[in-house]
Amino acid sequence: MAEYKIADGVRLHVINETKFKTVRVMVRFREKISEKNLGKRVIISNMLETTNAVYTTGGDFSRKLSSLFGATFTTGVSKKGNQHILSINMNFVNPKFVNFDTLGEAISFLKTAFFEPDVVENSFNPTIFKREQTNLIHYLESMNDDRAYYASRKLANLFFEDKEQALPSVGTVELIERETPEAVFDYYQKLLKNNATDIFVLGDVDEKRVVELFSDFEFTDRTTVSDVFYSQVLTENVSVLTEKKETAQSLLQLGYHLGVHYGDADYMALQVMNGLLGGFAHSKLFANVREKASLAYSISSTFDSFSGFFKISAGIDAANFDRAKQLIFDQLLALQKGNFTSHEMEQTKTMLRNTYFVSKDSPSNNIELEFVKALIPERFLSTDSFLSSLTEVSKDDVRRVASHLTLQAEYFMEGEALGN
Amino acid sequence: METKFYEKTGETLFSDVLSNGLTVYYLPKADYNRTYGLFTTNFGSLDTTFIPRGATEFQTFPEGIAHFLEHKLFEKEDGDVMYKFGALGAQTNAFTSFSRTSYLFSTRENSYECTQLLLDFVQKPYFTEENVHKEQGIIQQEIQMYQDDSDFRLFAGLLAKMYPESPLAADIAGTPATINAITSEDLYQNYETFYHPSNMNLFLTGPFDIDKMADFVKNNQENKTFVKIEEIKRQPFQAENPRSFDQLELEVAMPKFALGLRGEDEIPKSSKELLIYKLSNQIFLDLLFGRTSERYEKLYNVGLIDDSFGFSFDLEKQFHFSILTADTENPEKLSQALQEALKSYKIDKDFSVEHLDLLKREMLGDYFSSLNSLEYIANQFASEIYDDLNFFDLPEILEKITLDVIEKYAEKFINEMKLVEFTILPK
Repeated sequence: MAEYKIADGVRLHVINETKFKTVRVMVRFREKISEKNLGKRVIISNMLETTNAVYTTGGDFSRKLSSLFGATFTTGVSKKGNQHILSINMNFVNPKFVNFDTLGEAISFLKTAFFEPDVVENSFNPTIFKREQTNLIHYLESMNDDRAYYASRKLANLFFEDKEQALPSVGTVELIERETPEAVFDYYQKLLKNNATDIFVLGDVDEKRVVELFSDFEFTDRTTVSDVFYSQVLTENVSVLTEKKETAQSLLQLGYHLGVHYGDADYMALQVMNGLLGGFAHSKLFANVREKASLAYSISSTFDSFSGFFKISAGIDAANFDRAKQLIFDQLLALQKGNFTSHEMEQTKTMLRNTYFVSKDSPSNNIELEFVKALIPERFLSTDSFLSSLTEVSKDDVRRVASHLTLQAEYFMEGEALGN
Repeated sequence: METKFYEKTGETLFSDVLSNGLTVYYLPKADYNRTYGLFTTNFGSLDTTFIPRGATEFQTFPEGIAHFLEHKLFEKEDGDVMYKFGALGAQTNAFTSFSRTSYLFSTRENSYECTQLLLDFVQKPYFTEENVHKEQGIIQQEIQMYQDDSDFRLFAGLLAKMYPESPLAADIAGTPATINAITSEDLYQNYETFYHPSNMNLFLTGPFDIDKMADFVKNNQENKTFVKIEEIKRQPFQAENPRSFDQLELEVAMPKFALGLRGEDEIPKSSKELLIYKLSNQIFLDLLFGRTSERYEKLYNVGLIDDSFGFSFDLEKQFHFSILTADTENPEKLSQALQEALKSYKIDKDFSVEHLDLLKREMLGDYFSSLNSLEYIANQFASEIYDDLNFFDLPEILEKITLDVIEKYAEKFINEMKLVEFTILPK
């Protein structure tokens, strides 16, 4: 791994890894989440992916990528704590397999995408803008067809105090509808100038060549702050919402206040606690609610250590609501009381260790790790510190983390009841 | 054991057929962290009518039995096998398709022990009336979950109209009624018929020592006794005539449209021709409807399709079909445009040698990309219907595909196919 400064606030990270047959390039632009800019960022992500001044039609754009041996160009938006991230990815086969300079061509394609957008008089091309805006609205509307996603959105709205933190990373119909091609292009120029920017290149590549290829990207200096973590104060009341829907299955989601963030002293204890509660197949939720009581097919717990949000979700039959909920509460209580064996602890640690290494077999996970390191170097857990702090987690640590979990929000999508 | 080095990809594949009939593939990957194992039986949701081992008459079992058996194999007298994998640091899972059931593990540590556990748990059934009954609740929830997934409903709905009165018309997991009818006796009969090593294959990839692993597998299998190899007699696949059009109302934001092309032409016998046939049909769709086609661009620009548009060609020995799907505001208009394209492909500007060359280039790149994923490679081997050819032969086969070949197969397919439309409308 080597890091190069292209400009203040713009860094190039080259990760030399020979085991993959492809090269992956990812560029990430980030800034603090704001309601004002969120919709613009989502539209930009679609615009960059569609056309530009050189590849002016969707067909030209796709044919160019096909000619680079099926290189892919994809964009995406996500959140990390307080930060909103716009990611641009290119994936292409390593030049040595096809005897063709995929690396040079792909990076040149990327440069065009960033610096030569399809612009008419200080505005994104209005025809294409309109079409992409409509497509995005359709996309957002149909995302609600996914019941689990819909339930997650409802829970997030109940849980987060901060309105902007509650916003989905992909925006809302309202935020997309109000944008214009002029305003979005105006903002795009600010984004290119001001957003903290990290470029990652992972693969079996010639490092000098990569640095050279990126050296003429017209990035200017910028000042960036890394205010990453979001946290909110505990509230006394639990926000509860039950909605009736015409669904075959009912979904129960519970949101808990989590006081632990990435890199905190209790971070590894949190990992173990989650693994014991609902992260793995041997967890209490899976073993007792699914396998023993056969109340659910899907049941799990997850957490976001950048926003202090802990979630339990289950797909159940409406007739079993009270029973399932009580049984879920019982499992958390068991952890809080320390009712788990050292065998279960060890198994969870082994699984976490395994998952950590297995994730290194995926190019995108490798980049994700480097991103966290770029974001919060002082808190970053190297492989050695990850492993040693995992070993040190004690039963007491797990109990302590579990007992800090406080229920804040409960969402129930009530569908048809089949009964038992 | 056979060894073959594939120059184009730099991969070496070892394969073996053991004396009990089990086919084993080993793909060493020294620089990967995890070992991935996939143990597959040629038994899926379509196999509901067959002659059980030891019997003489065809017998029909409840829909969803292959999937039910998949769930139940994990449970043993001394608990769930998942926990045993967990204790070794491994993750495990399983899945059932129309024609196959596969069991897998993924691990960094204890790869030999995990391989042994995989072989042992799949090869030692334990079903009781009580544990069968308990599973019904879990599978019920799984079925319900899929019922709320509109993309799944679109696919399942189309299949049911394309192949009425056939096992393809039924859900892989069955229905609440059919799974409640399953008994432990049924499970044993299905198990004994289809889980014979001669009807199965094992694929192992990862940073293990090849000799040690091969010995390990061989010893494990030699220490077990199996009944003699017998041919499995399955009822030939049959379906009624398709229903050409149907729709359904659900709570969705936009109409969801699917066009199905049920293949009626005879498929090639030789495995090489069969692979060429499959790739030709896939490329045929890509030429006409892919992102690099003028048609895609036109339909996208007028708003008839968006990123949700997709298509695929599925081939099994018993059936083959193409499917095109899209979320669209105007299903009728889109359907018309797609059908016209299929009728007049010969005079289509996109049906050209240049376009084909571009797509072949793209496919070759995609192929190399897919080699990053051990899971993907393993799944390709598990779903093998090409006998002496495999996934690693693909680059060479791709070279042989010309526009003439595509036209030859497309002509037969298009002339004989039966069209089916299925739409989900917003409530």
